[in-house]
Amino acid sequence: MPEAGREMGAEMKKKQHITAFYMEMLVLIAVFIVIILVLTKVFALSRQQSAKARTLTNAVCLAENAAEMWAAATDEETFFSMFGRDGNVCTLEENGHRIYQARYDDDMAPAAEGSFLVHVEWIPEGGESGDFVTGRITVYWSGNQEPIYTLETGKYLQ
Amino acid sequence: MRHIPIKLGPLALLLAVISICMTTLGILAFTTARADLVMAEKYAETVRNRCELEYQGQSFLKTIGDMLAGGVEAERIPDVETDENGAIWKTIAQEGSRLVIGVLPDPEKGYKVVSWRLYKEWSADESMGSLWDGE
Repeated sequence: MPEAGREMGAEMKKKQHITAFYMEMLVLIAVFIVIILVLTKVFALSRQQSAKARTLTNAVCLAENAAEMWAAATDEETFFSMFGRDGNVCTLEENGHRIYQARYDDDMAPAAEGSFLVHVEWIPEGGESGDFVTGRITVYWSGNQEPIYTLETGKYLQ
Repeated sequence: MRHIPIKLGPLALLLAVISICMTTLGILAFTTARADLVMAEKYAETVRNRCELEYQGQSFLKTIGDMLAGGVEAERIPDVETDENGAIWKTIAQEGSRLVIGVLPDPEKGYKVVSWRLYKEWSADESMGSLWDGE
């Protein structure tokens, strides 16, 4: 009789041990899953911010390049010849002034179907001794209506 | 049935190490991405500021050109300084940057630009952000 009781006690202890093991394992897996979920969110946010930074930097570079070409040009034809490459430029007429639109790909290379659209407005104003031209440069990305970067510069053509 | 004992300790330790490594990696990735974005925004602001100063400088050239063409004497032009050589100096300041323009009246061309300098005031960033400064 005491033999059977001892056996039952050992069996109970074993069962309790297995239950505790499973409970501990479940808690461990749950904690691990929570950590992985939080980290996935953190990595996704980091990726999003990196992409935003890269797009903004590229947009600023493209706008700066356009502003430099614009400052170097002595007239519209010179600007057009510097701005356009590989057929990536088109010209529009709006409110009496010309708008030049050039497309660039994600690596900032001229591309007719690129995702960056650089929009340059050449707005001339008269003057007594020469013409003053205002240049409004806007960069759009991936067909968005909202510009990601805008610049305004001026040039006095003596 | 033979009972095979599984030790949970080493497994828990392994998962803890993996979690710590992943968390460190996540924090580093996030702070780097955030710093990249802040830097890109600062660069964008600097370029915009420079273009704005260029715009104002060119507007000043137009004003000077028109005034000199209209027969106004250099001394009578408002908000400028004139030196002993007759050069007209104008300083345009904006958001920590300033553009110094020097123009010399020229009887044939109207004027000649003798100086066009852009200065950026710089001060070291001594703040530690949200880092512990040791106190």
